[in-house]
Amino acid sequence: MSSFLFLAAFAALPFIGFPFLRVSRTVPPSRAACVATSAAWGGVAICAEMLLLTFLRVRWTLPLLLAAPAVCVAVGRRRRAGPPAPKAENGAPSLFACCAAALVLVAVTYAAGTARATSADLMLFWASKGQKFAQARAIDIAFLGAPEHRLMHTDYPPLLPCLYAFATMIAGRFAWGASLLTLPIFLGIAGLAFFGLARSSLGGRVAGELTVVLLALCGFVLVVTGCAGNADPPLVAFEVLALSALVFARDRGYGLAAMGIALSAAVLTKVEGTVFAALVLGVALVLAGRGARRRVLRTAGVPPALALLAWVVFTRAHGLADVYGFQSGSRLSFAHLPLVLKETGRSAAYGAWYAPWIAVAALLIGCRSGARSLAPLAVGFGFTGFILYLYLSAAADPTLFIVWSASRLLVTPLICFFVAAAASTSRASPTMGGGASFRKPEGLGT
Amino acid sequence: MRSAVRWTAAGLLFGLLLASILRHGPLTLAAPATPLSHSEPAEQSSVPYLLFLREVSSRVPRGSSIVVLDATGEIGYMLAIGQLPEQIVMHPSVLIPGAPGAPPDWVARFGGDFRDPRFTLAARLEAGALYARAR
Repeated sequence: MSSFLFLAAFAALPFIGFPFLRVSRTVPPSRAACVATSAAWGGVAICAEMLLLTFLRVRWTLPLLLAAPAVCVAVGRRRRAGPPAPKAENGAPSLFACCAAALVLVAVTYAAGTARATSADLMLFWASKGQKFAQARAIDIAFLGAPEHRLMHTDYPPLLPCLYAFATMIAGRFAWGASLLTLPIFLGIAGLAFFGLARSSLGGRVAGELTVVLLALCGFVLVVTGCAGNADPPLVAFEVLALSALVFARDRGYGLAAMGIALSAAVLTKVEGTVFAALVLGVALVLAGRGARRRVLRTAGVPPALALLAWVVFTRAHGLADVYGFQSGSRLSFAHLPLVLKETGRSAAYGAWYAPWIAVAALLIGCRSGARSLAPLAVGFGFTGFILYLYLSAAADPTLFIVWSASRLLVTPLICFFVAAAASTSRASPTMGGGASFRKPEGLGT
Repeated sequence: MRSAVRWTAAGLLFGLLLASILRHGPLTLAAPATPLSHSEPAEQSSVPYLLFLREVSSRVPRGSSIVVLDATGEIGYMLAIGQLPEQIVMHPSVLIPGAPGAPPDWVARFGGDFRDPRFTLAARLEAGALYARAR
């Protein structure tokens, strides 16, 4: 029963987040995108409330944590509903694609549920922090600040431990088996995010097929890198949501809002989420027309900036700053360049002869128009540059650092290149502020 | 043509996913003994320790303080924190003679023996032993 309740807490994130989406009047027209965006809202809302209550020294209780969504429900009912979002006539995915997507999710659920897809990171810090936070009914500053817990990355972003604490409070205990199943939940959210936002541009059939590829791609790399229960699956879900919004809906209000909340969630999930958010925001600003830049900054830029600021202030105020102390003192050195390239290249193979990259490259080859792909490609190459910078600025021999982290960090550029390939399938090109010029995409039928 | 490429890519990646599943042991619907039971071999080396901690958890009263000793040091300590949520897990450094504060109520030793006049053997476990503070 406790495992069921633990999982239900994660499955409830879209329900917790939807009132915020409704109040902000940025509900996407697609139900799939609505579920994914609501899930990101739900995660950020719970994490933000936990952070705020800890800052105010108020102990967490479930009624308190659920108060904000409840208030939003009340406000949403009183406010007059905005004009209904236009429903895109864009066809449905094929039955075969639906079955294939379900099959991939079943396989990933099996891999995660039978403990074939995780690593010790879950047990070393993600779960431990979640349990401690739930026991303390706060972000446990004394626990994080103890010198003997420094290896637990004291100032690492709090979203997943907070969600684990929330689930532990609901279930009454930390359910280890259920924590592994957060992988298929977040993978499903990633699939819904992509399908929901890409469908209007690509058509239901093509978007459905590409969703199957995305699920298989992320499912394979997350399983083979042992990420079940870790923060990588939620990060992947938020990255897919942000990239899909950037590529397919950045000219719509709901698209920018989805990008903003997804980037906030990414910033609060892992350190590299901040780098990803900066890259996506930078690309969105470059692509925006002069008149639209302020709107991009306000809707997609301010939320992640506030999220980052809140966590940095919190860690510094409580003497927890380590990574966010920005005092590494390390310098870029090309002395290890051959080693970094060799080891990073080895990790990039995923033990499968680079098959994930080859699959994405096959989708990219022969694309009709490269213009729409430029945004995710720029983010992907930018993030790859960050990975190399990270290893080249390591104080000592970075071999172990690369072995531990490269295969997971490289998932982000892999997703970027996949979204670039998907974008190249589309003929429509969104223009910031000017509305999308829409031409009939492949797969709409006649 | 492009649809064929998409399905080929999806089929290839799904095949790799299935191969990864099969590589980690025979298919079973039984719940794993620990979250690392079928993971990579290097990760699986922690499984006996995790099972030991589960046994310790069932024997040590809730709210008691405990130190868990194993050969991996800090990693073992961090794993114990998550596996013994009902107990107060203390860092092994508190056992050093002259360390500040009271010694723990219990010491669990994974593999091998533990000799300290402040503690007496309470139970032999499958993969180690449990010692209680002498009163």
